[in-house]
Amino acid sequence: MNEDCKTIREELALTGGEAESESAREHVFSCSDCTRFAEALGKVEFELKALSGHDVSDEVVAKLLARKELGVNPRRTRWRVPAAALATAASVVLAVSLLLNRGHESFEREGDELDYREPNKNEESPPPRLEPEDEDRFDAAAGVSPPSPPSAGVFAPEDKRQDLSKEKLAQLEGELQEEKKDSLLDAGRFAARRPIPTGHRDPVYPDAARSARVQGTVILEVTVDRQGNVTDARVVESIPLLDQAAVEAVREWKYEPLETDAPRVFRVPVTFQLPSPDGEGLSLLEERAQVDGLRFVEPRGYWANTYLPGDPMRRRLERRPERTMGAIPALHETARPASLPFDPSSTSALSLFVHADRSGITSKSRLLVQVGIRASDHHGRRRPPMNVGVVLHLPENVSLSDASAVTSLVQSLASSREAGDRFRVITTGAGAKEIPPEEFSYGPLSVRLREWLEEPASSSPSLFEALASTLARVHAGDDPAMPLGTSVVLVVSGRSLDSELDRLLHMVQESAVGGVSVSAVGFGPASGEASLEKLALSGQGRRYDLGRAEDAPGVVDRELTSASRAVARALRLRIQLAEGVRLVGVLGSEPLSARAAARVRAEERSIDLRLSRNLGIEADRGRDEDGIQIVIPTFYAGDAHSILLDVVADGPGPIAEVTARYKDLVQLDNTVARANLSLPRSETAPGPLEATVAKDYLGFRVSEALRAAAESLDQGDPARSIRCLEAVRSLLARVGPSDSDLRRDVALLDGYLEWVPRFSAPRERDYLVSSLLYASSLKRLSPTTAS
Amino acid sequence: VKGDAPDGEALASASETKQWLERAIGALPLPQREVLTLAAIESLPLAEVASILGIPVNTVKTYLRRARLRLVSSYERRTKVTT
Repeated sequence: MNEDCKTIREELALTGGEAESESAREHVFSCSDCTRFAEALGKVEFELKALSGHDVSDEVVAKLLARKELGVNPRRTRWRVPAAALATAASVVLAVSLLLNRGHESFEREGDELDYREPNKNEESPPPRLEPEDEDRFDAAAGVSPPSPPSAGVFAPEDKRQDLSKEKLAQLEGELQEEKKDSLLDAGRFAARRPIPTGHRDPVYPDAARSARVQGTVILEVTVDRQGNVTDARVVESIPLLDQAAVEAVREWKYEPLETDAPRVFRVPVTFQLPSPDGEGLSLLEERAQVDGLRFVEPRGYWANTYLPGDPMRRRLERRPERTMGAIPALHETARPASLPFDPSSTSALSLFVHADRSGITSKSRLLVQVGIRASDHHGRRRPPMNVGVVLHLPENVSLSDASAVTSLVQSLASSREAGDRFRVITTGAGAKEIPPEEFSYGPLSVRLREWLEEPASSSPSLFEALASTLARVHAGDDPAMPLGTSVVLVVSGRSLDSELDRLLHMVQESAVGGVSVSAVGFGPASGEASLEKLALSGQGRRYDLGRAEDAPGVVDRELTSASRAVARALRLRIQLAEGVRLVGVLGSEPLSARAAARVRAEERSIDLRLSRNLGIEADRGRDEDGIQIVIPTFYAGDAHSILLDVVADGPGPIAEVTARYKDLVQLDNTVARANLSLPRSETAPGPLEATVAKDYLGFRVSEALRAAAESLDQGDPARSIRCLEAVRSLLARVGPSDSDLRRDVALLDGYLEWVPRFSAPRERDYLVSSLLYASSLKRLSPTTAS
Repeated sequence: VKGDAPDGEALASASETKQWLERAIGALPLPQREVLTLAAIESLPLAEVASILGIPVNTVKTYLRRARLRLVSSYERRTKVTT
């Protein structure tokens, strides 16, 4: 190792793998030892980021607390963040800053009883779940806790809350408890009887969140002292833009004095819900004209990716009307995304567009900036040989139709086999059985599959071990000369994965970074949609639902061609706003926490290095850039996607500069596309191009309204659900009665407005909720994926 | 690879990486471990790490550099053994 290598490795070690100078980067990619070093570092770094918050070492916590002389008993050394806290980084960092900000006084007062893991150790432990006899007492607290108060707005005002009859609340709670037993929220909500609130302040809805239309529930862990004052509020489930407002509000809440000296610690959900989109119809136009009194967000850092290929819920919904809901039409089927008039490039994989909803401005104006990406239609490549492992996670008793669907899936795989393909199937459970590639042909498969499906599976097989072993084998057979995406593991599950989901997610994430993606196929009544979706997302794979045997060939075809349908990888969008242009929000997206951003970068770098090794596309990543950065791992042929930015420009002139840097899998090269937007001084009325930006925005609002309607209906509030739908409907009717896309949306909304009020039975209601959610997601899909 | 028994070594590798890493972090000298935890796991800015620990930023950098170099070399030794 020469001096250069040493210096460069030290530099990489300092930054965690991001070489700062151009020469260092060049060196890393020309020196094979340093490349290996960078890969190992990337791997270690990825693992580090994956360590969860409770791995903060005792020493650091003890030292941190000691240094700040907070007077906390050092006995409280293990700093555990509840496993439920998804945004672990945010919560730990936030906890640190809360500790630091709060100063000495309150801590001294609380002394060593701060240990919130066991706040009640001197009194009898509270019931783990709400027992029937506790209902009365719980009622009183319910005014604070319903995840969604029945009236619009952030929180129901005091007087309205009192209007709610006790029965109604009990009923609401009962329903929620029954329907959402598994939800995180409830686990916290029913965990302990909480003190009775005597005063509370509504949170102030942050403007940034309002304009980005970020809403949801922040869960706080609140410490209340003997006098009933809130002495601490920590975020356990975070929504970055809303956390602070929630904490600020809750800190001013009051509770009845406690019966004991020990402080009480419990969880409080704080729900932020925007008023139904455009209650008055006109408000959209007013909102769009508003340029003052807005809060702006920094137009830099990493933001969440909003391009999601595939249509996970589709199959499930498509088959539901036949099976369960004869009467209700499949309204969701008429939902279409707003058309995006982007022409594909004939020479490169992606083309990039920037448009605004105005053709010119004369003064300070609020604008919608649309960043559009269009993939070329033709990938024109034969599908490469695929290396596929299928893990069958069968339920104890497989119904006849599920058995035939699973059989059909494996046999479709066998009949799609081409030269060079390596397919294998393995089952979970004790004595896991495997069909290796050399025996993967129709005859042996039929016999073995029938055996597997007929003999009852063991009662609680672990997916983890079978998946780990399959991943290892697929990794071993992963030919580094093949394009990324040709090695895939398909988890076919008819069981719930909840019990081992965390370790599964960690493993598939690691695997995806190492080049083997994991896709998920659910079948049967027990497969959990949400956990399969998480698995596929973490595994950078796709998500399918296997409803019937006829679905199987389609799933196999899409999975086998996914590698060849990808036209661009590691797409990094950078959006820089010109001087005098301020950002109100990126619609549907949000700034990523430091940890999430670090993960995005780790994934990006892994794709970068792999493609550099396999296809000779020079590695060029690892630097943060100025501006808004959005990383999309894979972009598929024929897809189009748009990102809408809500901005205020001081006047005419340059507005935004967009760069898309990606691995072009058509040209096998690093490609950079650039596009600029500048608005002239003019009062010309918006033309057709500008109208499509506005329509894109309206489509976004329709999607939001459908989702809000689904959530309200799910929470047992059809009236509110109807209000959401009516509001956006009246808006559309006002804005563009003559446009055919908008007319279709109006018809869609009318359909739901007709059917939602008719049903209150759980089965029909569930169906409508799924249908609304699906229609909402269809509105946001890439137009080509949806067709 | 043939045969029905799951490949023990490979099976172990996925779940053991995390355990290995935890052990490896545990084996670091205390100052390095602290810096690594705050800077690399919790992604705090270096200046903040320095102020929390009450040490100069340059010292933070040195510890962080050493910690990562040790982890990488330990990682490389480990992969050599398993493969």
